[in-house]
This record gives sequence, structure tokens and C-alpha cells, in this order.
Amino acid sequence: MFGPASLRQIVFLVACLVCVTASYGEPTAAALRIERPWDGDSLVLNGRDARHQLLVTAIDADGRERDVTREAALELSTTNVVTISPTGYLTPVGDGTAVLRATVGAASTEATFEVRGFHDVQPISFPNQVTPVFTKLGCNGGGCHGKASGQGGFKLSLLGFNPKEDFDHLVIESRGRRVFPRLPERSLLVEKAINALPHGGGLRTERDSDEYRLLVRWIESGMPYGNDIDPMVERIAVVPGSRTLQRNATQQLQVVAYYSDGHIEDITRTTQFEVNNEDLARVDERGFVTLDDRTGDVAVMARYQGQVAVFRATIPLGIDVESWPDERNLVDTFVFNKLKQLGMPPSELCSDATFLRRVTLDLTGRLPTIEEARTFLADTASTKHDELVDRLLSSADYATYFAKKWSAILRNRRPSAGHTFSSFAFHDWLRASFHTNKPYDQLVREIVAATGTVESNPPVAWLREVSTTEARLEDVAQLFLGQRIQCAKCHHHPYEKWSEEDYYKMAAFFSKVATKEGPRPEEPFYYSRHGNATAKHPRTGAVLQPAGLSAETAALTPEDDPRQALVDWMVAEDNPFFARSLVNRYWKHFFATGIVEPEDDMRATNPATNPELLEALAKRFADSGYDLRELLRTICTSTTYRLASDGNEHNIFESNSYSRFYPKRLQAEVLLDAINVVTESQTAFAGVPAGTRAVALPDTGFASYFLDVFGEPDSTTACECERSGDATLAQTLHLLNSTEVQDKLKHDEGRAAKLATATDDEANLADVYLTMFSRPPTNDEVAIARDYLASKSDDRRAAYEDLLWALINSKEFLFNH
Amino acid sequence: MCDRLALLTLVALVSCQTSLAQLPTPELHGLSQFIFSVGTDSVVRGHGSNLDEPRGVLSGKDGVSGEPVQVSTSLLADDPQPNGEIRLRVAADATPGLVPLRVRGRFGVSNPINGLVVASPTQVINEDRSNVAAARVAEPGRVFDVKLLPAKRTYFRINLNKGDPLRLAAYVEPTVSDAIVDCTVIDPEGREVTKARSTRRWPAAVELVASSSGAYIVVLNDFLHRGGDLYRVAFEVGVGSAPQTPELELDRLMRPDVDAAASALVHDQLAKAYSFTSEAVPGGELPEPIPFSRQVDLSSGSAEVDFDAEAGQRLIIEARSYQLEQLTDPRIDLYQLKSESEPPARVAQNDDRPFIGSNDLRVRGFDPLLDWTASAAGRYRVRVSDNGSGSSAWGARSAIVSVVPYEPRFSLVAVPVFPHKDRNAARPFGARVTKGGRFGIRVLALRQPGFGSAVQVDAEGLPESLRSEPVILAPNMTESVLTVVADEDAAEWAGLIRIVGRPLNKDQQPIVDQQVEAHYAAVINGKTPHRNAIETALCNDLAVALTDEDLAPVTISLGEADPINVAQGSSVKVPVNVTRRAGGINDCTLRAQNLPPKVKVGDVKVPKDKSAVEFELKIPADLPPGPYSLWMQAETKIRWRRNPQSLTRAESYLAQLNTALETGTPSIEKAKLETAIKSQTAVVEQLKKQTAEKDVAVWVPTNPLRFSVIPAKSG
Repeated sequence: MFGPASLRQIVFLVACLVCVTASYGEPTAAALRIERPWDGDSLVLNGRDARHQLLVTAIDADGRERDVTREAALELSTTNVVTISPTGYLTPVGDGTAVLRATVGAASTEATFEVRGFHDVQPISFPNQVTPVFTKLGCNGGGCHGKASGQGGFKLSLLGFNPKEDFDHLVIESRGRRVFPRLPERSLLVEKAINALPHGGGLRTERDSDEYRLLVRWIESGMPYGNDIDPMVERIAVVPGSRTLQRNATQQLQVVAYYSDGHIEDITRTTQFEVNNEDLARVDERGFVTLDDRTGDVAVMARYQGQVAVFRATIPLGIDVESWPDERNLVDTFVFNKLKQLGMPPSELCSDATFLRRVTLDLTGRLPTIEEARTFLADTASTKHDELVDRLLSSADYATYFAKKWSAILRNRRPSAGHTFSSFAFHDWLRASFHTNKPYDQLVREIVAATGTVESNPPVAWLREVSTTEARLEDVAQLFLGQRIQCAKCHHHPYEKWSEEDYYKMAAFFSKVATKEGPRPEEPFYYSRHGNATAKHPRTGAVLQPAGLSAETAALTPEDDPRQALVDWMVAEDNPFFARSLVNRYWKHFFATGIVEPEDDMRATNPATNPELLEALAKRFADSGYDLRELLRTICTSTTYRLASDGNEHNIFESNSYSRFYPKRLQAEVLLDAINVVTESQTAFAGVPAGTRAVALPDTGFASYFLDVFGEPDSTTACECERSGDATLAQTLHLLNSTEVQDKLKHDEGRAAKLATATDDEANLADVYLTMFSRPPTNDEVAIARDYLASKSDDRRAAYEDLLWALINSKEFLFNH
Repeated sequence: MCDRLALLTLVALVSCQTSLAQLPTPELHGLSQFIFSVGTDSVVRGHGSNLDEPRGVLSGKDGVSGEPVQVSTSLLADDPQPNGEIRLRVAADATPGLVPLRVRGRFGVSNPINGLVVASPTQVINEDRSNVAAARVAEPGRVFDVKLLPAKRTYFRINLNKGDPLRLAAYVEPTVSDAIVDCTVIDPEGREVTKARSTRRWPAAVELVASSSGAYIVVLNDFLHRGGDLYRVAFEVGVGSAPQTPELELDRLMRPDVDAAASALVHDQLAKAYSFTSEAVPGGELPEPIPFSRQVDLSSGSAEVDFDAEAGQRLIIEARSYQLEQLTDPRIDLYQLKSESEPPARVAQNDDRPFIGSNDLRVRGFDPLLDWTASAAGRYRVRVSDNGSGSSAWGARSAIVSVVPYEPRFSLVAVPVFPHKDRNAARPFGARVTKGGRFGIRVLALRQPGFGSAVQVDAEGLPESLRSEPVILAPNMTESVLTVVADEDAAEWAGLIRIVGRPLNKDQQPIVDQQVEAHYAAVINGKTPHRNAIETALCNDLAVALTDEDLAPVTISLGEADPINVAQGSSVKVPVNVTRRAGGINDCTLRAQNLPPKVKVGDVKVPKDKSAVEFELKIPADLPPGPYSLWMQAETKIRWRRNPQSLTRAESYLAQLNTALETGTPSIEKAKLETAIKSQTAVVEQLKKQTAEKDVAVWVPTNPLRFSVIPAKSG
């Protein structure tokens, strides 16, 4: 009744059940700890509005920690000071001191809480207390009053990043009709919030909730804004910062804010939470995290007043892996460490044929030749893999392929025929840079700080295409720093700490780029004019000096080109973005998934899946003098890169720990070239010599339906996401039925025609398989093919066309695996 | 034979396509060969328009001449006729180097383009060598004239021994060629060793030491994969004996050299006309004594030269680099060095000079010049920096820094006027004066700051049948047009003329010992769908051709022989006389050009039934007294036939053939005669269409009207 496949499924299910059962069987707590985010004998709550999210952690006998806040029995020494909810939320009810005891099984612990100034009238700070309420309730989100045009005639700054503006909108705009100090409960602001008056946003909070009471009290007290000397939030922290959790576990989070005057407050309930992978976990508005029954990494972002912090949870599979592949370099060390942490066994090593095809496609964008395949497969030297990588990296094909990659994201385009030279020259410059292994910091400097004309200095083509100050800084941040700071152009970045000020300080680096007449109208001369580098804050009008992200203002003279200072900051050893960004970008090139994903959106709230790996690779890259070939060599000679794409029963669904190689559909140009090689045909591109490979085309301005349908980018953005790696129905139909592919198969000078005239079918098949898959065919494949050829012996050419057609449409051909 | 004649004629007709917006002059876009060895003859064909009936070559170099190739095509007599090709002779003692060549023909003399005379033997490569198997062996010591082919690569093979130093260079024709040479070297193992690309006059050049023995492959192609006769490349390979790098003749002849100054007839070097200081002298000890002119290297981005100046000393501080064909854009910053403890204080700076001219004649002042007076005695530092950080492998970033005492100077640029109302329509334009006609030469004055004299510009070196009509460039004017006019009975002539400018003294008399000969220029490329700018080059000389086969249909003259005197704030009636000849039958509309400031003259219409009108020249009260001139461009339609003599000749030959057929010529087979008649009939029919009378819009210059503004009478 059950075949082998079914049997495997049953075994797997049983194994999973065992694991699940194990995860539900909680060990007995050996000790308890009440988290104390600030020092002192007691936890102090100032005033009636203070709150505290209790966090009780159990330490098991094996040292593992888990959250037992809701599980613990909580007992207060008095109920006259604080009350505690079943979720561990403390609310002051009077001045005094209370001792709280938490008990789980035989373990217990105590903490003392002190409430002060309960009966005092606490001044309310609009920025520190009221604005966070709007954020928490979603009032100032991008889909509501926080959007640029506001909502229903009422506008708030996005996520409360501009409290002064919000205050004016609330208190002064519309003659103050939104707040009634004499009848605070009848204020539009609160009646809309509780939906007592018709409100497009519906019910945002309950009457008598903490938020409601705070708003009423603020209006009652005359809508103070606060003072300039009011403490500001300097940072926030999530407790715990990270934890290894079992599947289906829960975790209460506690968030505290550190103020400029040194005091600390619990802000858990006014913090906004967001989880980065909803397949793995959910989080509610109280900071309570619930995991699903899956393995992996998940992060929960906490956001409060422009500050962000992250909780990272690792959810291991828990398999006890007995043997691990050899660690060949730091890549393996950190990948395998992570897999050990997850209890995730990696796949086996791939075959030599797979490796040859994989690394040749990844480094040069072409299939290995038959000769290369035969030589490599016959080679018995243990060093052959490393030698192959070196050989490929020193080839012109490597330079050509990576020039293509960079050309697209550097927006090398040809908007008109007059820009052909510019486009070709920039591509040629990129290719030469990779061929000579120009250090990455130098490459970036020559692009970002380019001057001259495209004739004498082709990287100025980047300045031409990315033609505004804003676009230049945004592209630089995204391409070379992995930072998407576009949001900060108009408002504080919602997921990062970057403000408009940060944005325009960066913009100031490009403020002196000027143009004058060049040799041709399409080729202006770019230079840095003399004068001071500044940018104007569009809202405040402040004149800003150039500064890198979180960096000091650059000291510049009027003669200096500020872009040089920008690159100095970027390539400095302590720059937290530059090396990591490139390493992550290149990692994704090989492994399909970045250590941070997407690769150009690296931020605290989008943490790396393997930060230690990212850090180590970035350090190695910087230490090597930003040697791109060395980085690629490190990646491609690792054992990790040689893991098979076939999953084992444990890692088949794993997608970001690199326990196996993740197959990638061949890129549009690579696939077209590969089909041309297989069919021994050419694709004609207007204006370039016959036989020019698609990956060697200088830009994306060559008309080709094939390239379009397989996702060649338009080079209109700096995002690699513009290149589509998706598989679509149109692609399938094009490969199956298109005239283009059929003509290649049927070409009189093509491979099928030649094979048909050769009599040794076995040799023919060997050539075909070596060409397409870098391996000889299996016996089964030979048998099937021979049968088919025999069945069409009256038309051998058509039979070979069919054979090639079938193989071209196989996943083994279409994917790099 | 007869078919061949017909074919040649048809080829000529096809090549005679012309715009109907003006009367034709020869436009030379390229030659079928670029490089010529000394002591050789080569047969070349010109590419372009209106190159009908070539009659020779006007060359800018002694020992280089050309004459039409003649072949006998008549069935009836041994009567050699030009076949459209030119035999170019280069004497054995001709000096190697670039030589401007102009083709003379039925419609005058063409614009110049460069040929290259070399001492080495040459080899023309026109054939397809676009695969390795067909690679041509590139022998050292030979210069190859390679025609790049569209969307193809040309392969050469060089056999090297390990350790051999190799240099190869590929240059393009520096005037009209759009070619950008892309050169790739592949080693015997099939690995790409290096690549190079040409930039302007700088070659695609490679220097390497062979890492292994065997056949190296050199691949040449246009960087944008274009090709054809206009994409010719001069290519030379040198293999030295280790460790000596070989020297190439092409480098000696073609490579821009600051010391030797830039060559004429190079695209985009009009800026040379902007230079007022002398050539470089070897650098001495700092500080340099004034005057000095010193070469500096900008490879590191900047260079500095110190000098001492006296208080009140007025100096011209200049950096020349771009105009010397360096790949630079220099700027000057001048600092005063006060003491060691104080940082240098910047006292002046300059980046670009004003750009002068219009879209079709643009003098680009990328090289800076300071007219500066020292406020205090002391030491000063000139810092020359390059605004561009482009990396060039050829050390193409030198400059000459000059500091000289101030002296008012000027220079001139002269270019044949393209006869069209729209300057953006300008194309490579030959020179042609018809009998009784007038030819315009546009002159631009480039004045050093402070030069305030009027300049009279005249043409010299004309034959008796051509007369110059000089023009005045008032102190507040930059440009105008002078004309040469031909007698109605003038004989054919072609030659080089000189344009000379002389400043006028207070008495409005030319100061002969301060005369300046103009720099000459020519439009070398017009606008095309793929080129958005008109390109103009300096050239060594200015050629004019007088053709005696046509009479100007219309000649228009302003004023009288003597200059007019007119007081400030008054006006004067200016006579306009129109001489109409065959074809000059329509209204003429005259539009004043290059008017002095604030002088306005409305369009002047001369009805077709009139030959004389007047217009009023009003002089503003605040126009400074002094000599001035203006000219007018007349737009009219003429009735015109293109080269009617060609039809006459063809009809004559057809008549002779018919007579021979009728009368019977024993030496010629009847069938051959019939075939010849059939072909020649087709030629005649084609020529009838080609030479049919048609109305053509033309723009013709008047003479410059010279007038003197005198002070208004007081009271």
C-alpha cells in the first residue's frame, strides 16, 4: 500500500512529532529572574501614568532561558501601591513600596516596586507622551493622518517624527476646534479616537484606556507642549535582545526608553511592534510574541519616537547532527555554527559536474565548454576546485559578466542614440575594472567622485544618468551602503533612525557637482565647483554641512570636492555599512538569498540571518584591501558553496541558513546565451558583431523579446530587484513554443542538424549532456534518448531537435543548482 | 566600354545628390585611403557631395599633389576622360605628417580633410578579416591603413617571443572621422591581455612585454561597431629588443605633443585661436622670472609655479592645456604667499574664458586666463588644477603655464560662410565663387582683456579677377563677414588666400606692423540624427576656387565705394543695387547681419522688377563714434540648372554614336554601337532630369557696408 516515498513521509512525520513533543515538554525551572532594566534596589514608578511590563525569566537546568511571565504565580505584598494584570502589567494605585513574588514550581524570586508622586500633578510632555499614543494607535501611519495630504482634513507627521508640527495641527489649526479644554472628553480628538463621533479610522482606543486618560488629562491641563529642556529619548532597548526559543513558544517583550536626563521608563505598551516574518511568529500590541511551529530566525521590531530596537529569536530544529563537512574557510565556520545552533544538518556536497556548472555560471555567466567539463571531471587533483575558481576569476568572461551586473544597477542606459558612446564606455570601464581587479573602494571612489567627460572618464556616465543631488545620494546609499534612505527625504525613516537632517547632510556631499559644455551635447563635463558644500533642510530652512550617516560633519575647504570626503567616510575601516553592503550583495549573487534580505535594505530592524558571518566576511573583505576577487574566491572555495541543492529531510524548506544551495533560474542573458550554445546558433543584436553574447551587451537597450520576458532589467533603478528571477507562464510558453527557440533548434547550421548527420548517438548524447549539464548522461537517460531516436529514425534531425527541445525545457538546464 | 562610360556617369550622378537649399559646393567627407607612403602614387576616391568632375587636389604640404585619373571610355576615339578618381602623388622628399587635402572639382574646392604621409611602407586593409583564421600578420615597420567594417572586428596576428617588448598604436583621422578605435590583445593561450580605446587624437595604444612565445592576436574595431571608409584607422606595431620599448612612426607623427604644440585641422581645437602667449620654455628655478612659460604635469591633478611680482604690475596669467589637445580642463588659482606661518591667500581665480561664436563656429575657452594686477609686491603662486579626474594611460595631462606682462592683443578666426539662413544647418562646406558672384568669409575677433581697437579685416593673396571687400570689427563687436567678389569675365582659379586683421589707430588707419593673420577654420561635420553638434576644426589655410562655368544669377551691393559718414542720432539712406543675370528673376529679401550694438535695420525687400532700392540706416545717439560695418544676407529663389555642360557633352557623344551607326564605322561592331547608344540614351535621359531648370532658394552675401559714426553736432 505504501511506496518508498510514502514511507519516507511517514518516517519524517514521526520524527517531526517527536521533535514537537520534545518542544512541548518544558523542563522544570531551576531559577527565576525578574528582569530589571535599571539599576537600584527597587523599580521606581514615577506618577500615576507610569507603567511597567513585568518580565519573568526561567533559567532551566541546562542554562536555557525562557519567558514565564504569564505562567508564574505573582503575589504582591500589598495592593495599595500597584496592581498587576494577568499579563504582568503593573499599574500604580498609590505611593509606597510593594514586593512582588513570582513563583514557578519550586523556583521563586522577588522584586520591589516603589511608586512615587502618585498624587502629584505630573506635567505632560506632548512629544514624549502624547505623540507616542498617536503612533501606537496608528493615527499617524502612512495610511491615515500621517500621509502627506493627511486624512479628513487632519494631518499628523508620519509616525510622529515632527511633534511640533503635530501640536500646531491639533491645537492651533482650524481655530483649535479639535480640542476643548473646558470639556476635554468632548474634544473631537478623543471622541473620534473612541468612535463616539463618526470616524473613518473607527475605534482606536477604549474609553478609560490608558491612552484615553492621557489624552483627556493633556487637554484638561491646557494642552501643554512641554519645555525645550524636557528630556528626549536617546535610545530604546528591547528585553530580551535575543533568545533561542522552541517552536510554538511565547515570549513577552519589555521595552524601555533611555532619556537624555538619564532616567529610564518602561514604554512597552506605547511601543509599536512589527514582526519581520509572519510565517514564523506573531506579535500583539502588548509585545507578546507567539511562535509558530517552524524553524528559523525571526525578528520583532520595536519602534518608539523615531527610535528602533529589535528582538531576535532563533528557533532551532534541534537535530543532533553527528558529522559536519570540512570547514574550509570562515564562510563554513560561521554557516556551520549557525546550523549547529539550529540543529540543522546540511546537505551533502554536490557532484563535481554540478560544481563546475554552478561556479562557471555564477562567475562568468556562461556554461562550461565540453572541453572544460571533460578536463575537470577527469582531473583527480584535490585542488582542482580551487584552481577552477582562480581560472574563472582571472578570465575576461568574469569581468564581462560582473560588468553586466553592475552596469544594470549603476543605471547604465541609453536614453537616445546620442548616448550610445556614454553607455558603451561606462560598461567598458566597468569591465576593465573587474578584469584588472580594481579594489572596490577605488572603484566606488572613481564613480562617486567622477569628474570630466565620459570620453576621458567614463564613470561620469553615472552622474549623467543619476542626475539630481537627491538621486545621487539615494543611489550611493542603496548601492554602496545598503541603506534605503529615500524615506528620509520627506520624513523621518519609519524603520531606521535616519532623519531628514541626515538625508540632507548626505545630500550636501553632492551639492557642488556642476556641469559645463563637453565635447558633445550629450556628454557634458562634470566637475566640482569652488565654494562651500551645503544643503538646505526643506522644512526648517537650516543650512546643513555634509556629514555621513551617524558621522561627524566633514571638514572641508571651498577647494575640496566634498565627494572625496564622502568616499573617505564610506571606505573608512570603521564605516559600518560599506564592506557589509558589498559582502551581502555578493553573497546573494551566489546563494540567491542575502544574509540581509533584501540586500540593499540593511538596517537594525532588518537584521542579518547570520550576523557573525556578515561581520567576518566584511572584515576579511576590508582587510584584503577591498579585493573583490579575494572575496569571490573565499565564497566559491567554501564547503558551503559546494553543498548540494538537494535538501535532506530536515532542510528541504530551509531558506536562509544556507544548509543547502538554493537553485536559481538562469538570468535572462545567461539563459539566452546558453540556448545559443546548446543549439549552436546566434542571436543577432543590432549594431554589434554577430556572435556577441547577451551577457556582453554593454547595456539593456538592445531589443529582445527573449530578454524582456526573462526579466532583463531596464537599468532605471539602483535596485537589483529590477532584474526578475521569477518563473512565469510567458517564459514557459516562450521556451516551449516560440518561433525564436524553434528557429534555433531547426537552424541548418545548428547542433541538431549536425548531430543528425553523425552516426554515433552515444557520443552525440555525451556531447549534449556535457554541454548542457557538464556531466555525461546516465544510463537511463541514454536508453530513453536512444529509444526516442530509434522511433524517429526516418527523421533524425527532427528527433535531435526534439531531444534538445526537451532538455532545454528541463529544470536542470533552466536552473543553476 | 560604352556600358562602363554609362556606369561612370551614373555613379557621378548618384554622387551628385545635393540639397536644393543652396548652390552646390564640394563637400568632402572622407577619402578611400588615409595613409600614403612617401614616393608613392595612390588612386583615391572622395566620399561626399558635389564632388563632380574632380580636377585635382589642393594640398597643404609641399610634395603632395593630386590629379584626376583619366580613362578613355569613348567607342569612337581615344579620348581619356576623368573617371571620378584622383591619383595622389607623394614625392619622395615630402615631409611625413598630416596633410590637409581639398578636392577641386566642377563646383569649386572642397573643405579640407587630413591625409597622413608616412616614411614607412603602408598596407591598405579594406577586406573582411573578421575571424582569427583570416588574421593579417602585422609586420613591425609597416603602417596599416585599416578600414573598420560595421559590426565586425578586424584581426591581426603578431608573432612574439617571450620577453619581447611590444608597442602598438591605432590612430584615427583627427578631423572628420567619428571612429573610436577599440583594440584588444589576446595572448597565445587565448586570454585577453589588455584593451585600449582611442580618445580624440590619442590612440588606442598598448605596451606590454610578451609573457609567452607565440602568436598574439590584435583585434581592432570601432568602439561603437560602426564602419566604412569614414572609419579608417592608422595602425602600427613595433617589437623592440628587451628592455627597449619600440618607437612607432605613428606616435611621432600623430600623438599630440605639448612641446610641438597642437596640429591644425584637428577637430575641436579652435581654442588654440584663443591663445596670446608664447610656447613653453624649459622650467627654471622657482620663482620663475617674468615673463616665463613653463610646462607642468597635471597627472596628479594639479601643479604649482611661483613667481615674484611688483606692486601695480599688470600681468596675463594663462594655462594652456585643452587647446594643446590634452585631455584636461584646467583652472587657475592665484595665491599670495605672505609668510611661512600664514596659509597662502587666494587673490584671483579663473576657470574658463567666455565661449565665443555660435553653434557652427564655437571657440571653446576651456583654458583659463587671468588679467591681473598685483596689489602688492611679493611672491605669488599659480596653481593649475585639472577639473577632470579622468584617468588616461598616455600622460595626456600636461599644461603650459605662462605669466607675461600685459599687452593688448587680439587674434582672428576666419571660416567660409555657409550660405544658409539657419546656422544650425551648416555642413562641411567648400569654397566657390562664380563669375560676378560674391563669397563670404566670417571673421571672429578674440580680444585679450583690455584690447579696445577696431580691427579692419581684409583678404590677401587673391588673383586679379577677385577683389577683397574688407570689413570693420568695431571695438564693441566680435564678428562679421568680409567678402571677395569675382569679375564677370574672371578665369578659373583655385588657391590659398590669407585673411589679415589690422587694428585701426585714432585716425582710423590700419596699423600694419600690428597685423595678425587669422586662424582658419572649416566645418567638418554637420548635424545628423546621430550627431547633435556641428563640428568645426582649425586648418592651416583658407582656399577659394573661382569656377568659370557659371555666372552668378544675382549680385547685390550695398552703398557706394567709399565709407559713409553718419552722425550719432541721425540716419542715412543706403542704396542697394541688384545685378540680375540669367536665373535671377525673383524678389530678394535682405536681412542685416552683424549689426553694431543698438543699430537696427529692418528687412529690405527688392521686388523682382527692380534693381535698386534704399534703406534707412539709423544710428543711435549713444553709439560710440568710429568705424563700423554691416552686411546683409539676401534670400531669393533663382532659376538654375545643375552643370548643364554635362548634358551637352553627353548629348554630343550620343549624337556621334548615332552618326556612327547611321554612317557605319567599320572598326566597330554594329551591336556594340547599338548597346552603347542604348546606354548613352539612358545617361542623357538621366542628365536631362538632373540638369533640368528648377527654382532654388539661395542665400547670398552682400558686400560689407562700411560707415563711420561721427559725433553729433552740439547745439
